[in-house]
Amino acid sequence: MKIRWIRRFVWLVLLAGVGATAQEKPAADSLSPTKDSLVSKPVKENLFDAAHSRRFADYLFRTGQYDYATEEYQRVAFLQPADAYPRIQIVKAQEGKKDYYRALGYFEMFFPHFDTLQVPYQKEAVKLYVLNGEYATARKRLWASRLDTVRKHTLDLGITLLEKKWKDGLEQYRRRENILRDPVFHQFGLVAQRRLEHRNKSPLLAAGLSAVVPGLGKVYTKDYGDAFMSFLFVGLNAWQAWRGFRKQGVRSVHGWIFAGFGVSFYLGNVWGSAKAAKRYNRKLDKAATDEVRAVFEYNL
Amino acid sequence: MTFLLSVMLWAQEVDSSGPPAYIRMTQDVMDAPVHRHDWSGPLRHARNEAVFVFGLMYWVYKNFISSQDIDSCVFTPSCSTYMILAIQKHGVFIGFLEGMDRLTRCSPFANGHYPINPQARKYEDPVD
Repeated sequence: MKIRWIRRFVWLVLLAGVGATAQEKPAADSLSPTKDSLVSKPVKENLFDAAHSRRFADYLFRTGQYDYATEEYQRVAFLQPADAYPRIQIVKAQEGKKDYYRALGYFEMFFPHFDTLQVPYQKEAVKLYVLNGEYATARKRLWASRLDTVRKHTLDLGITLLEKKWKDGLEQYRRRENILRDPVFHQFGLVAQRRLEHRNKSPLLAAGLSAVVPGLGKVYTKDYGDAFMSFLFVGLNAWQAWRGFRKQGVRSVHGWIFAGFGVSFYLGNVWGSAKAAKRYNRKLDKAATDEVRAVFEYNL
Repeated sequence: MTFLLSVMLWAQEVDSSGPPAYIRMTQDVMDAPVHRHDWSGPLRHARNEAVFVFGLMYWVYKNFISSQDIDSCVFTPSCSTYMILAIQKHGVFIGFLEGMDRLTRCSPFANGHYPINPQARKYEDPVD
């Protein structure tokens, strides 16, 4: 009986303690706003004004959320039509997405008069034309811009290399090698030198070699595995055809089937060797142009 | 043995709502909708009779031979699709040669020579 009363007392004390704690909590800390708190505290700052929007857009841009950043910069551009910053940032957001086509579209829309642009914007325009593969326009704009002469020569050399005119590029480099001190110019020069150190493979020679010995054209293009497989395919089919014809003469169905396959693989290999040579050259070109393109993309 | 039997009986009692799990799994596989690919494109869009014949061979191969086998080509598109695309693009003679060349290239030696298509997880070699 006594224990029961003690237990009741302990419960009572505990419940009283919880109630007191709940009462101590001030109403202002409550998560749900009261009518009073909303009325008595007027909004001090407008979070949607140009400055805040710009800060938010910058944050979105910095964190790589380019689509949202574009929308936010568009709002800023609407609020501050005289400011060029949000417009160039819209262009850069497209560049961040590697959508150079759209970036150029925006650029031409926002900055239609190239001659009146500031130098960094002119450089941006040249970069966008290059990255869109419009090399003739890029060169025209480059020489019409107010960039310094050293930079102009450097970018011109880059455009020449992107056009895959390696010999012209090297000549261009050699002419000004000792005059220009721009490290990018020398980097481009080295790219041209390295590309010309690797000689192009002749598709005609590759096809001819494969016509003589199946697979030899692919050895020439350094596709050794393919060369082995071609030799194996043609050789095995030819051997089977020879076996068929030797046993039953020209009436051998076995012989004709394998001869058909053998000839098909042989001709396919001749054609494929020429293609392999072209692919080899393309690969070398791509490695070199990628290096130049990376400079335009990230270091300009 | 007795233990195993009792476990099986117990399992049957526990799972008495339907057939055993391994049978249900089989039923699920059998009842699953079959996604059949339509391989008749080259047949329907053949430019001439020769391309139609190759399209027909491709259709037969895809429906009755290739479908019974695992996907073993190292390239995307596969060699048969490559050949029919090449025939459609370059005509019967050149397309056929390109296809034969592709067959000799379809080997483990392709490793490292081609870019990888992340979706297909194969080497990418489209028709030029």
